[in-house]
Amino acid sequence: MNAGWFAKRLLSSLFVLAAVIALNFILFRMMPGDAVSTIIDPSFSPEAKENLRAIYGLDRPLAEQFMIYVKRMLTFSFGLSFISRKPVWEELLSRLPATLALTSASMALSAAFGIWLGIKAALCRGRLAEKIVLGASAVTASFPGFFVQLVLLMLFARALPIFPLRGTLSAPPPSGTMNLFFDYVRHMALPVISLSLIGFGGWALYVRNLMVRALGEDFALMARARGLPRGRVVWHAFRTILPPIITIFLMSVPGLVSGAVITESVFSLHGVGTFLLEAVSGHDYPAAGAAFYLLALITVFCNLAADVSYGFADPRVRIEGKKE
Amino acid sequence: MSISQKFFCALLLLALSISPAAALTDKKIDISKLRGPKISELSMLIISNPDAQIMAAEAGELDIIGDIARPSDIDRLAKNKNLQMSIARGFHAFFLLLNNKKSPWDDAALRRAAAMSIDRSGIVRMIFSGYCEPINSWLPPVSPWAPAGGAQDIYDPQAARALLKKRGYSWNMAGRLVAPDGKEMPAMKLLTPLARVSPTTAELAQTIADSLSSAGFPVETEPMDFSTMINRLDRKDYSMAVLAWSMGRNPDSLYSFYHSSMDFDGGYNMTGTCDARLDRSLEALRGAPDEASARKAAREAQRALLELMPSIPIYSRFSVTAVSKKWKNIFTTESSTADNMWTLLAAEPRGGVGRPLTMLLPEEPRNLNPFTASSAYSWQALGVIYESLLTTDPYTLENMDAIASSWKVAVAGSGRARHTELTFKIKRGLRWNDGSPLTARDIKATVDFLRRNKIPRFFDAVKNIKRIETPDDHTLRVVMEDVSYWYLDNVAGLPAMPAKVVNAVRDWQNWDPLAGGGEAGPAGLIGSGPFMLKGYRAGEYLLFERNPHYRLLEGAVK
Repeated sequence: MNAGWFAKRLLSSLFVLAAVIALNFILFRMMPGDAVSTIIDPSFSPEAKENLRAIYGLDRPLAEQFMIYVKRMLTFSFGLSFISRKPVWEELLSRLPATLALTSASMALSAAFGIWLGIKAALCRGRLAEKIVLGASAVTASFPGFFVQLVLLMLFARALPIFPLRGTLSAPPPSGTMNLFFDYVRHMALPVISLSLIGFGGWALYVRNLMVRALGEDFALMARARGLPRGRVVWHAFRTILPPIITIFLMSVPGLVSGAVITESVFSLHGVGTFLLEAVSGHDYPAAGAAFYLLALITVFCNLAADVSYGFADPRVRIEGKKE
Repeated sequence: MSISQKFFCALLLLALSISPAAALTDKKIDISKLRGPKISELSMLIISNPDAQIMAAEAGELDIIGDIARPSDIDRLAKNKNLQMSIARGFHAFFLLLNNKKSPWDDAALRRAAAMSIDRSGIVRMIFSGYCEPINSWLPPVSPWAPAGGAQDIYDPQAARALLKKRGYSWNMAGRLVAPDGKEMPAMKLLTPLARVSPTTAELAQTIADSLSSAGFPVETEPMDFSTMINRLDRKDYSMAVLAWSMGRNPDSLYSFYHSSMDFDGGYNMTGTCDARLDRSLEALRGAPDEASARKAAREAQRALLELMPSIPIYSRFSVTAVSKKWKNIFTTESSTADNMWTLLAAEPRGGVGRPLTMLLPEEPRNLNPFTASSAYSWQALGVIYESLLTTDPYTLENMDAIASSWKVAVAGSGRARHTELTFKIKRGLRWNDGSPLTARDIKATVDFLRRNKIPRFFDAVKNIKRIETPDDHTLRVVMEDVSYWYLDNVAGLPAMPAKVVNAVRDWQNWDPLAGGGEAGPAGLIGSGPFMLKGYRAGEYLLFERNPHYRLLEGAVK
């Protein structure tokens, strides 16, 4: 890894971003209709619709619209949402906490639990424990997310009312910071648990396969032959599988944000996922453009971060990078 | 037994079948004597997941859940012993649109035959478990302007066959229609939204296609994205399509949907209807100087529609609401379920324990700027803060007093200068929710602001206003540019705001009344409605408290 390599990666990332910006504009304009044409209300005359189009800037030539759009993307001032008439950036920021809390907590939980189970399964090959892990992982990973979440909602929010049915806070919220915090945790628990439950299986299966292979490698056999403790052998084997784990971890971040659409809808959470859904279905160009642009940014950043973190996790990358 | 009596019996049977406690307020209440709100707090809980909404109602987290559409949900809630159901006719109407400009639907006889080939009662029974009514009118039967036989099922396959035979059509061995020129009728596509987006509509479209196919019309459904479908309807690039919309109580909308002047790309006349007689009656309807002429023109227009059959009315959905039995004085009528303003005024907790009434808000309102808010969810919240000059009588659906105590519609001038003049007498002693007095000058300022800024949502309501006068603090005279009885509803339905607010709004598009003031305009939502906003947490809830200056509070202005 050197400066030249990094500059090349950076350049290709910028190219991807430029392509996303252009496609975001073109694809949304290619979709039939716009935010105004789907209004079917006789008290909203065609003349009033034209007024609305002018307010949204949809009456301007496409080239002009594109220039305004590019400027907004580059300056991160995404304009006003067609639906809410509020700055898109402000709306995104207001929805970010719920999405961040949901995705980061569930990702950390599912990854930690899945990796731990995967290692355990690899160490217990052929035994009942491995079969249970493999079975449970396959079942949770293969059920549709919304189905699992609805079942959990019915079980733990309705039949056994342990968790709330909706949102992130009670109405009205309790007074006091600690009470507020616990209320928030109680509301977020079920969405986080459900998303973790859906996600851990994939991790467990993936890590189990990697670990089985790593533990069968010559270096692991050698370590065992030398009489190293089991924990040390497992640690050495685990280090060799860290790069693909990091890649998968970072690459799943953008997917989690877009995957939050379903979880946020099921648990009525006010997050970026539902914002994305409303923006696309309502032809809200500024909101949809900004949301997809930010998703692309996250994806590109995570890609870059995965490449860079390889160097830290795997000494071979560092050494080969220096040789280059 | 008349049709309305038959309908009432059917509705009563349905109500009794969904819950023994369904009859909420069966005796007529004198609404002029109603005082309230009795509750001091109102809470609107935002729950976007339809399944969670039902669960919340079952669990007692919601006191009122309105607009329950899925029959399975209605049945489920009706079985809950803590809930009572209310059912009413709604303003929703579902149509089969036919492209009147394309063969074979350019033939009115064929359109009528198709209309008689669709088994509406079967659809109502099979798809909606009876929670809707078949219609044969272009206004929902609940509308006071709808014809008497509007809720009839005209399904008559024998008559349809006879009509087709009379027009020279025959059937081939496969049962497909053969035109008088000997050519087989070509296959036709029925546009429908995708099943995963609108499962009921998609199923309904398939049933309609099957009905028509069995009568000889070779129809197949073509599911597509809703925007794509609207785009094709706008361009008249279709043969048949299904579409539903919510209509107002007035027949003025018929002009938009069926007058030839509205037949252009993007115009509301999506069927391409063009008929001189219908045009004349719709023009008479739009330009009617008074109620009597409006009624006459509405009758004529609807008669012409019945003959022309430019689109085929299918059904109108009932409104169904579930209410917690912990509340009493829930207000319902034949045309209004329990989730109405009158319930918010009259409702009291059983046992007298004061607590907020919790209603469902199915989506985040996202925008509480009354000038730019367009969603029904925004107006569900804004509707309890703002009032208009007149409101609607929940029994008759006619205008009744609100901010204005009386009103007059008159035609003045002659020849080309003939125009409508509206005069409203504003009640004395009214106050905004901040305690400041409400006068005719406030209403004038609101309407002037809406006119000056050509705000799209209110544009059509104010575009024909020539001038507004306030001879005194309690009289508002609105002079229109031409003649139309409907100007009364347009102007009387505008939300009233204080002059000091509208005069301080510098940028109506960017004004955020909840942002605590700023360059765009002042802070706060100041209205004269029964409630005022106390707290709002985006995506979670809206909390309202009783407006201490509300005109219908005990001891307030009579």
